[in-house]
Amino acid sequence: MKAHADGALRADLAEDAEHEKPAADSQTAAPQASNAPTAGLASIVLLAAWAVPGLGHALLGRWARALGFFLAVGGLAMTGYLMGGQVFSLHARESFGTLGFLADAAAGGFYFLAHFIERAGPDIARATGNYGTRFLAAAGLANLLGLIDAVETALGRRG
Amino acid sequence: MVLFAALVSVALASLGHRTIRVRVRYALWTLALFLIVAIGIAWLMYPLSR
Repeated sequence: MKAHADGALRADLAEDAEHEKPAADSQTAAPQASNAPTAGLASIVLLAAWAVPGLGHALLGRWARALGFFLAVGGLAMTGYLMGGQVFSLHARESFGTLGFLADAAAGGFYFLAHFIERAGPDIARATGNYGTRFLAAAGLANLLGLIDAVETALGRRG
Repeated sequence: MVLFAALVSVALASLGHRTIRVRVRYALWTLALFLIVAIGIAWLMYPLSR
């Protein structure tokens, strides 16, 4: 049974080699990014992936990953705001607040939407507010995963 | 909890070399593991709450 599962997984991975290559047809709106590992490209991808979740992968032609990260990070961040989660600021009075800021800020553009979406401020007196705080931190950490994956792809270390 | 697990599963499934079909299967598998582990740990901690 394990051998069958492994065989099925290998077949899927082999099939993936065709699906994960940047599309060469007219459906890609952005210009094709070079596959050559360059520090300049990696820097642009890093900033783009941080600012807008999934944009780094989109610049590299990895549309499925771009959409996945955008939906995941955006969904976590918006859910956190709607639940009244606490958004930590740069000038935190304690180390936990600083860690919270680093996690929240890793979500990039979604972090700066807090002032527009959470106008009433956090609601941490209730359990939903505490859950929202965790959602916001998870959004930043998920974007960090995507950012690292995008940079590794730009550097040619991943396909 | 389900929403959190689902969104994190989508993020994890977006990593690596996978077809759409394998990604969906991986995301569902990860979601199931999240829920099983979370509920399992909750039940394990239940005697400590009494």
